[in-house]
Amino acid sequence: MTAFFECLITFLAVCVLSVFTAKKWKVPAGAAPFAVLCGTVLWYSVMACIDQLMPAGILWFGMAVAALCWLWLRRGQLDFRALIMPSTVFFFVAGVAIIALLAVRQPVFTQWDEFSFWGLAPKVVKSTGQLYTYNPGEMRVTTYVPGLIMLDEAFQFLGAQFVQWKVFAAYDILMFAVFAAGISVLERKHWHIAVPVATVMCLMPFLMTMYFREINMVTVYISAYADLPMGLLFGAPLALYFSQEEKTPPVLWTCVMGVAFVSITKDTGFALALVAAAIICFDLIFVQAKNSVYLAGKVRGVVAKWTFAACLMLSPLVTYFGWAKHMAMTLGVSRSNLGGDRNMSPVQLLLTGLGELVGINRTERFSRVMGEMWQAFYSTKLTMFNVGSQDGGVGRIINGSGAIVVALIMAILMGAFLLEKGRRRRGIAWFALWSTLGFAAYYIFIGFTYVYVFSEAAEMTDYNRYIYPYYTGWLLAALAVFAAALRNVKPGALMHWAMLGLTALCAWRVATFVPAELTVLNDLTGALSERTKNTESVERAKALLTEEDRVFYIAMPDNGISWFMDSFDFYPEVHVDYSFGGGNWMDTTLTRTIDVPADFTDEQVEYFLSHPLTPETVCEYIDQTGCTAIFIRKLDGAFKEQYGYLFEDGLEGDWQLYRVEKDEDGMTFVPVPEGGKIV
Amino acid sequence: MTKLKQLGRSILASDKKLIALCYALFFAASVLLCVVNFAEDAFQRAAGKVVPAQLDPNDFVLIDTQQTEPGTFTSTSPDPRMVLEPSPAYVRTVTVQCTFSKDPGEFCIFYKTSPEQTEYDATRRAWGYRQADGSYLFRLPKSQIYGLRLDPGIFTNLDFTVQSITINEPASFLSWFTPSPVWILGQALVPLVMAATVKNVFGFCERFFAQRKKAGQ
Repeated sequence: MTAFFECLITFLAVCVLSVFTAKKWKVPAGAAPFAVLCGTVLWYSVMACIDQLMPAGILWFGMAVAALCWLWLRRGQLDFRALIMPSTVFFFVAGVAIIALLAVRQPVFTQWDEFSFWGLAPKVVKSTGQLYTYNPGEMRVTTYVPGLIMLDEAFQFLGAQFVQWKVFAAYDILMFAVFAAGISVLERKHWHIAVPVATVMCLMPFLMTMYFREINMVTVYISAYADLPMGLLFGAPLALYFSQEEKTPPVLWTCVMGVAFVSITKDTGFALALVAAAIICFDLIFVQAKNSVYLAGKVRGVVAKWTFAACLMLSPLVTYFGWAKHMAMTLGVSRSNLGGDRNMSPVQLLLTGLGELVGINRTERFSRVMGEMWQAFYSTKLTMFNVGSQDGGVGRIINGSGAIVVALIMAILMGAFLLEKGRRRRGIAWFALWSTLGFAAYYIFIGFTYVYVFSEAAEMTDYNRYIYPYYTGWLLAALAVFAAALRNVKPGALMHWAMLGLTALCAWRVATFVPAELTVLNDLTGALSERTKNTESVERAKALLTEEDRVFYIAMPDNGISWFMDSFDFYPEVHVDYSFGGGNWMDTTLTRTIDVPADFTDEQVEYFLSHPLTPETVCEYIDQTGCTAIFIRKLDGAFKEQYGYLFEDGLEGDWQLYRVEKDEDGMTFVPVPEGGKIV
Repeated sequence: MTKLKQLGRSILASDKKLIALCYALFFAASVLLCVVNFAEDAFQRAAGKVVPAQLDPNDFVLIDTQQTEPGTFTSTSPDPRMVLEPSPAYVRTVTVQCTFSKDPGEFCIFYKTSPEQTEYDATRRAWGYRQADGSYLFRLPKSQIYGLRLDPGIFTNLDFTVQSITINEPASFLSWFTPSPVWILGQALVPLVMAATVKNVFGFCERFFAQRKKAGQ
């Protein structure tokens, strides 16, 4: 209940700041929440990089209070009624509803990357009060850009403890702010346009990420993965810019902040930010009338245009190099190395890739990957825009692939093109062209990463997840442009019916693919029971351990996710050792790469890499890492047979927690019955 | 009649009234639907098609499940199944009075909607809703069914003790009107889409008549 109020107060603070920005700086009311969230993220990110997270939060709430006072003092002069627009009503109602729903349902993290980064990072930030780069020992990945984590922190700031569902709330509120920005141009009298457009936008997270009828829990709107918000954030500045009639400074500054935000959502966000910035710059410089763009007062025309263009292009570069500098200072890591097989820098990757693309030293692998990428464009199912079976008939053509999405986007843009006139019409044509070229560039860039960063075995891994952000942002922008164009025709016109038809189509696809029982609307206790059970067993063990304890972790057999889940639950009270993560326990002969603690000396690393994993090696490892307890998630016969004798009960008791005890004879592991049995 | 026409005009002329009307109509329609469902159920019961009955747990074929004691079934894999084929044709609800040795995770009923259907699939399944008395209630579709599969939980070594399995248990009148989360979401959103559609229909008619008038002159 307290978490609900904490989250609600933060949301209301966002609303107050939005009203303030709308009134004071004339940001379009519907786009104000988006502008505020971008500003919030940039503010927290900068402050976190200089290790001033606590003042950042206090000042942020201080700003909200100050804004409230400002509004209160001018309540007589300000026309608050003008703020009631489809976009603002949508944002407010959807925001309050999602907070209430999440507070009741209390969903938790369930996906791998949430335990390894997207859910763990905000927990580390909340627990330590610092950005994760200052505590590199806490996480396995610390080099990711901080944008979304700082959004989480803004919503976690109030409250003593880290709450998982607040992360989802922060993401959802951001998405609603993006949708509101997309329909911000629609006035009250355009409600009949806003309703279908907002409906399609809200369905987009389902439409663009799912492509079969789900039989497990649907994590849309309850996910901490960055891909979807990144895609929407990529589309948001485009949607806002191209839908707004006047390219006023508040609109353009919001776009600058939006571009900066998308560049710090994920590493690929940088590429998307550049694409969005370039598309807007082109329109700003070549399509807009000479005097329509102004900076402030009398500064108009070319100077204003180039100033904004420079800011748009520079903002992702500033965040990129800023983060690189921060990483070098705190972690001593260079950002110019993309890792992977060939340790290339981004520039090297681009140059080599382009070279191979035009035929210079083209390798067989390059041709193969690019061939697969091309084929995937029209054959890989990744959205709900698929009907029937893919084996024949209509289903073979309307197969939910990228090609179908591009066709849909082009059709929407064509509709908008037909409805608009003059400069706006030209703007749409150029937008269609540049966004397509931008897509081609992004698509080829992803292809390059498969060739140069991924190992050969991992080619085309997570293809959908890398590609759909672009489609999502692109579709969002196209919808916003179309919605703006619909204002030109009266209700009942063909294009209005096209929009309603699209809404019906999207609703039909979502209703077909998403069983309501499996979404957060429903009580998820059943679907989450395994997670809950695991968390409870960790809590039981935690109650018996102290901060001085270090836990050696066993889950056999496992693909590694159990370690991430359980160490997430153990954090921050108890430290879980990586415990030969990535290694294979049954294999006693092979020399392999395994992760060892960062504080090991080179000799220790060498020793554990070259020695087989016999019970003796394990004991030496436990001794040298200072592990004081053993937590067992699951066991198999092979493990029992080989290592059972180290345990006092021969692993017959199925106990979950053991204490490490040392004496002259060596090491024994004594069961702790209070820790319960393996569940 | 003229008054009614006037009222209609005033509603279509004001967006606020139109939206309010759509909300009222949709709410009334959804309540009416509940009444119709109730009546249909009552009719089928009176006609003797939908009959309350007890199912004997021993009639089910056990897969990955063992009967350890009379009425107690223990799963031997994470996917225990109990199949009843052929099943009674008209199964609207299944009420399972039971206890689990621990939280079962997902507790579902799969069903076959055609005699040709060979496999049970995830698109034809009902989730159990825990009721106040601890029993689980499953709602199945109105069509005839040809097989039932009870999946008691998702864990190995889970004890599932059945007191009774009742089909078509008579439900109270009020229970037909219990709102679900989807129902609430629908109440909030559908009327808006309805109103937007009506606005376009009206706009279309207006244009159409205006054009005809023009053509007539």
